[in-house]
Amino acid sequence: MLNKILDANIYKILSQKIGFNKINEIRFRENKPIVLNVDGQVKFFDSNGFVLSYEKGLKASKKMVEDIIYKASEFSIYSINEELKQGFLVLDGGERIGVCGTIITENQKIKTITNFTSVNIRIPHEIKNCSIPIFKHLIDENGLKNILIISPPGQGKTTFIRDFIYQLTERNLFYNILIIDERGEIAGKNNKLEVGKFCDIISFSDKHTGFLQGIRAMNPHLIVTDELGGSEDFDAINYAVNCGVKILATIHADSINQLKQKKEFVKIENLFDRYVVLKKGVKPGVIEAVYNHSMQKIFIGGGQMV
Amino acid sequence: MKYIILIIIVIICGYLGYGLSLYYNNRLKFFRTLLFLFEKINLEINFSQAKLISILKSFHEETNNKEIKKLINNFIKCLEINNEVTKEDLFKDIKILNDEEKNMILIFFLSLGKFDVFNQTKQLNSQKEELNKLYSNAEQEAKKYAPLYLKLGIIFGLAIALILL
Repeated sequence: MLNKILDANIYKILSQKIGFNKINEIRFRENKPIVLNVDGQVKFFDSNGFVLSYEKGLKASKKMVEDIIYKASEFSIYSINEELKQGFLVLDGGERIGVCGTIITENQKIKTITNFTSVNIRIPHEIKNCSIPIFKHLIDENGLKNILIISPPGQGKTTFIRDFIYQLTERNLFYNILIIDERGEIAGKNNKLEVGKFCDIISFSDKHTGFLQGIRAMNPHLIVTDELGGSEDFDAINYAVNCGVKILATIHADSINQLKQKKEFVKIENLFDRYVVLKKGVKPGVIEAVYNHSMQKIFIGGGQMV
Repeated sequence: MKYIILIIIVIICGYLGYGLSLYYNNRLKFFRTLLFLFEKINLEINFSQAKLISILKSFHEETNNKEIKKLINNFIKCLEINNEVTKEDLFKDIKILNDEEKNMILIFFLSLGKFDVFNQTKQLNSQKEELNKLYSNAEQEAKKYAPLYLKLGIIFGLAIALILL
């Protein structure tokens, strides 16, 4: 899909000289060098591949930025206005395009975004087996745990949950898994990403609606969802746990301590059995530590048991 | 034999006149179909918000107008290759339009899919008048010149035949 939205020359350089499998993020800012995030590190490039300095990097033009959004909308900006209002689009392959520009409001509501100035393309990767080191901490003879994955953006939370679901199905553990895919990032737009054979997917629904409808209609054993944020997300989680459904969710936080400081944390304080913290500043999907229900460390990344 | 040659001359001149009148009739059909395309785009954007290319492709299948088919093909090709829509590429193999008309139609195509529904509709409505103007000019031309050239062709053929008699 990226070949359809990127400038042909840029695509050629990225695919031939660098390799999309290494790139986590590409940022295009009007009249500024294009920035790559490769395994957690910021890199610039020219037609020959990586360059060391910011000044030598290939620059993005305004047209380049606009073209990415125009092409991502399949030449129909009018058809993606609801997504634009949220600030991002999702492509078939699960690539997420964050958009910046001028926000037009009407009656204090976002009407649309115009005059695009930067885009940020996040490329999902399959990191096979990244959940294996802690698999036995997340499921045991008593069954699945309620799990919360914690890390700052871009550290592989979604990659981790996708692999965990895959590992469950690989082991033929017949759980009915319901994915509430609010942004189409877990299963991709039109469910193009492989998430295993026992998954039902509710796409582009807010968590409250998705949880309510999903529990009623699909009788899930496990609900998987991404990026808990607003108060209503935590209410939805509470509702599901009280219905006896297990939860695998992710949340943005730097550490377990930062998580505790979140205002909404009180709502979920006693809900989760396991807190998985992903390492920051390294390649995505690396586990830093696992905490139990009472927030005691039970696993440290690198294989050491506490 | 002589009479046969004279009849052939009349037919050839009449055919030439018909060819010229066809040019004006084709232009009229082109602009009429363009207006239909315009209406379809406007409707689809407002109601189904279907993707531009699927709207164009479905119209391509519905219409019999060869020039509009060419225009749609050229436009889709421009978008899909590098998103550079130039006048030369858009009107490749389309010979029934003058430069001013090409510019107007180019502006119309260049604005497609670039805005949210509200602004796209506003944009389309502002262009509707221009497209209507192109259509009525073509209609007037067709009314005036299409029968004229056909008649002139036949008369010219008959005149030559009379002289040769």
